[in-house]
Amino acid sequence: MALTITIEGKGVIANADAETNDTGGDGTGDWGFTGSGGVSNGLTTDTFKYGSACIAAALSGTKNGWLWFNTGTGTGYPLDFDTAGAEEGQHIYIWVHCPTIGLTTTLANEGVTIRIGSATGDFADYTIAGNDGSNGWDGKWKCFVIDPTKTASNTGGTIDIGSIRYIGARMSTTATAKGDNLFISQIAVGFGLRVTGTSTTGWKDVVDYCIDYPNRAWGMFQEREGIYYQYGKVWIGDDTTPQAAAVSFTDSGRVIQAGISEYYESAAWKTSANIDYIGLIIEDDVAVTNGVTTFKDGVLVGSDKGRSGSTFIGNTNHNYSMDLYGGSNAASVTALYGTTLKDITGVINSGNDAQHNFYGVSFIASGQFDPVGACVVRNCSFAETAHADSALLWNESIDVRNCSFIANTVGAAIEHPSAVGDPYDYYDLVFSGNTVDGLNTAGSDIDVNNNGTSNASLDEGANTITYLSSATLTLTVKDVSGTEIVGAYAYIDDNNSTPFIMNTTTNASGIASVGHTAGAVADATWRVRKYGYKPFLVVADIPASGTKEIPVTLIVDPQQT
Amino acid sequence: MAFVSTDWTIDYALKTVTNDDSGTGNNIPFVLGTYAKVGPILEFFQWLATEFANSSQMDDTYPIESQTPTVYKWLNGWTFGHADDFKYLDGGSIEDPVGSGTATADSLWSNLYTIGSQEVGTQIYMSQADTVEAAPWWISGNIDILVLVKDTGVWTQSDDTGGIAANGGIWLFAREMGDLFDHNFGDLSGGGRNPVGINTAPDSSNKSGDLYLTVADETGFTVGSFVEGAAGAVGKIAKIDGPNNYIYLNAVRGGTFVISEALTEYSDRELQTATGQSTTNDGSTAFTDVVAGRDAITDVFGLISRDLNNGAGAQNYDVEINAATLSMAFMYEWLKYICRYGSTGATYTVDTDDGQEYRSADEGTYSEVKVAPFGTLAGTTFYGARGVWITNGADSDFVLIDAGNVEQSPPNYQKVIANHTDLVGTYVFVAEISGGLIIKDQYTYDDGSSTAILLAVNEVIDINKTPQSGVVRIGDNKYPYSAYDSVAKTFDVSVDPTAETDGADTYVPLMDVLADTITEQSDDIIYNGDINVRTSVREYGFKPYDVDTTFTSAGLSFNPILADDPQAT
Repeated sequence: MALTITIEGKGVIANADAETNDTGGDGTGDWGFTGSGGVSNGLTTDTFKYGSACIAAALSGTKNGWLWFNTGTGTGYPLDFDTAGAEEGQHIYIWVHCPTIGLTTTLANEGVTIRIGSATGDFADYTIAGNDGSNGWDGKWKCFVIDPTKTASNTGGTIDIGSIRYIGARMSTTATAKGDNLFISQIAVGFGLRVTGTSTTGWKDVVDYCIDYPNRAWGMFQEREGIYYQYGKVWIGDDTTPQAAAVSFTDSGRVIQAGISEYYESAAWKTSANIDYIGLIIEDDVAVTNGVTTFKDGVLVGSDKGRSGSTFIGNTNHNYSMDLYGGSNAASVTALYGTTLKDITGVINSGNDAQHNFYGVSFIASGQFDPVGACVVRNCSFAETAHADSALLWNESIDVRNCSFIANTVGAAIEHPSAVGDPYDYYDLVFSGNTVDGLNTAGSDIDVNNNGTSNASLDEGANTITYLSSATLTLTVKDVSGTEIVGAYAYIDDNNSTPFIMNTTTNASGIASVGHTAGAVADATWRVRKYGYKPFLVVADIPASGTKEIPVTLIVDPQQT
Repeated sequence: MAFVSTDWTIDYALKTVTNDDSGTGNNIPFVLGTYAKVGPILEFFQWLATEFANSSQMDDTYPIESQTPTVYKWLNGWTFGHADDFKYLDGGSIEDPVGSGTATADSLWSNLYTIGSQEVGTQIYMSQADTVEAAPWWISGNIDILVLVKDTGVWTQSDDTGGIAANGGIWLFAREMGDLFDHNFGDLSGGGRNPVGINTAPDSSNKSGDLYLTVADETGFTVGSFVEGAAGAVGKIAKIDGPNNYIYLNAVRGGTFVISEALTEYSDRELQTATGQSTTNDGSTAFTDVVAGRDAITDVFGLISRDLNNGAGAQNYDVEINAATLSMAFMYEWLKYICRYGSTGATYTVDTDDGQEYRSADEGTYSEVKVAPFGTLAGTTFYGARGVWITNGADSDFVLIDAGNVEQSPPNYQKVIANHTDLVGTYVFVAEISGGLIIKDQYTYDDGSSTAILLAVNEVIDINKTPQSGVVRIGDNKYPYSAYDSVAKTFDVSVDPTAETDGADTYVPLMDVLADTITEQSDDIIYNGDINVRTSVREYGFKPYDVDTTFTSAGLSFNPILADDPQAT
């Protein structure tokens, strides 16, 4: 099954393929022009982005004019971007082509703008070019993304963003031009895309779908020289009940760049979209009637490493967010193998589900990763965090091992917000070049055992973190076929009285481990029990430091059925 | 049966597992009437395995190990907390190994279960080394129990079928009156599960019942069901006498029936299922003992030599049963009664042990008659077990096996019987004839060998023409004798014969009495061939009766004609 891709939000409102009764939207909108006299406008097939024609105007000399699309007042129109409006939070995606930027007035005089209005006399301009600057736009077809709630570059009359009927482009020229020089193609309104269905080349399929220009020109995803540009949010899966079908979205090796759309206002270029408008959201539903959501990126290597993951790149204009945990169904899976998150400065979270894996993921200059619960984090690197607190937020059921924390200077490497489980154990967490390794916001002092190769040493916060050197004691529990046994009771102690050195259950990898800081112990008791198997017991010494691992093979007890 | 974990308590400090009912006994099957509080040791193990595979118990040593589904072992100093705990488990064995450090170290509780079918309500019971016999804690029917066979290093022993003391040996019995008995040996020393076959069936020769109740209305009561008296006694219905409103019961246990109490019928001995029938004990006495009087039958153990007069001469026997002139059928039921379940104590001691455990006259050597240890009854004939001698019965309808394991059938004892309503006061005389004359020179008197109590003849006494006791005549002089010795040629007499002439003619009539009853009979005569005899009955006032006839293999029974003689006034 291929992917099903839809615009999340209003959708296409104009195809710019007919001056009267444009086929987009409800099919009744018309195109018009407001401005200087003597300006011709109409449909042209000389250039277009969508379909085989577009709306054009020819401005030459000292002329100005607004080439607009009138949505009309049919059902769902005009557009309401106001608070609690039907289009609140949505953006306008409009394709514009202007080959004569140099003949326009200055930026300060709104050379080329995206103009929207509740009436032709009540409008707002978002300047996108002038004869003194175009922010790198060469005038070719470009999809501008406009948040109507943004402060406009210029206004006329009193615009009501709760009743937008006129959307288009305006140009003011100062020199002679020949032919049409302002073109508009498809216009859409939405938050972004929703993707369901199944694909092993998910991102490519999404992009190919959006840039199938003869059929659509959805500006939410574009591709330039192999890099995918994302404008708006992407939802993978569906939280309707029940989800219509299983969703399996898999890909690897893509580069997904957060797209930039800017306008000129108050003598500066600024983003024309909301700061939080871009992101990735995984959704699922509690019902498994038709299937759950699986989102995988990259390739699993061994049991806890990854390669060939995609690279997600944010930008300084926006806080790219990643909500990687639908959280409705434990059978849903999110797995990132070798994925790179760079400049993803929005919220990044997972969930309390050991099926979710983050293996070999690089968190670079990004926001704080909040695993929320027991997702498995292995062989990841957290570098140059952009978050003021830390690169990684600890939780009481966190399962993180074999990770590196490098050059985190804006915030700490790890933040400890709780002392409930004090003391905590680090297993092979390597710190280097960080201003602070641990930030204590728990409200009380905590201890951290540096197990294995862990080497945390620097702390800050209202309370202290004491890092203790320890021996890492591990029981690895499998059955006779070598399959890890999850949930086996694992116990280590020197005198069989509380507090015990370890009394826990094995994790998804069949491992129970603890950092022991109380020095060497002779003849400690190591036990593993799980109903269904014969109990395991060995008496073995505990070293003062380093690691000691005892592999355990539990044998089925046929009487424990 | 199901294991009930909430009935058990784990003491982590003492390292014991204890059933909450141990020592109280309210939940043992014998009291409860069901196995509702007894569960498989497998489930006991699974419960412990669950309890100890838990974070809160990881600091406690593991208590138990399963070796097979039916073999378990205490570990790490864990054991039962009470001596009765094992009574609430079935289905497997458990060991407390040597050196465990517990109070029960080196002990073994083996599993014993029975296979076979028994009559409803049959209580199987166990003998274990005599000295450690335990009252059944189980209920009737097939059993599945744990048995302590090794207690802190000491095996309980029972002699096996060969009479050799066997570690862990036990005997199981099923002996209910009305049914054929059974018993078998089991060796439980290996632990695990140990089957012992026990089968019973109705005994058509044992239907008299132990007692009967006179009830208000016996209608609806059914043979084979159980009657409970309100005072607690429970018995199994052996038969019902409708016209007399009698209900005969076997195997009465649990108390004594009392007058006027309510009687309720159940389909099981444990009184779990009432049939809906009830009445009252309506007799003037609480019950009537059917076996009363049969206790005159005695059993005396000790090597004896007895001659059955069957030509085999005297043979050894191990026990002499004096049937007290009762029939073989009565004797058979009594000999079962003294071996039934519950025959214990001085009253029912058999061969120095409780009768309920008696197996043979030489246990471990003699083949056992499991269905009836002293012997069986087929029709009217009693077939004695090896070494059993029968004497003083109403008849000699038996076949014996002497101590040497040789079958000894009695000779064909026959009698001469005279019947007449006017027989009392007549002289009844029957003797052998030849050529129409009574043979009076059968023997010649040997005065030299005779004494005041011993009458000797010169010829071998013919055992086929001589009653076991009777009268020997020299001429017309009569000398009653109580016994004779054919080879020694002597009669044990009660009148001094030594005044007789040596060499005088001597003979033994087949009958020679003055009738004091309307039926007179001679003592047994061993038949070996027909004898022509004359039967004479005379009394003044009657015409003499003299008729020649034949003593045959069926003996001789005659009814004389006693006609008045009008001249004898």
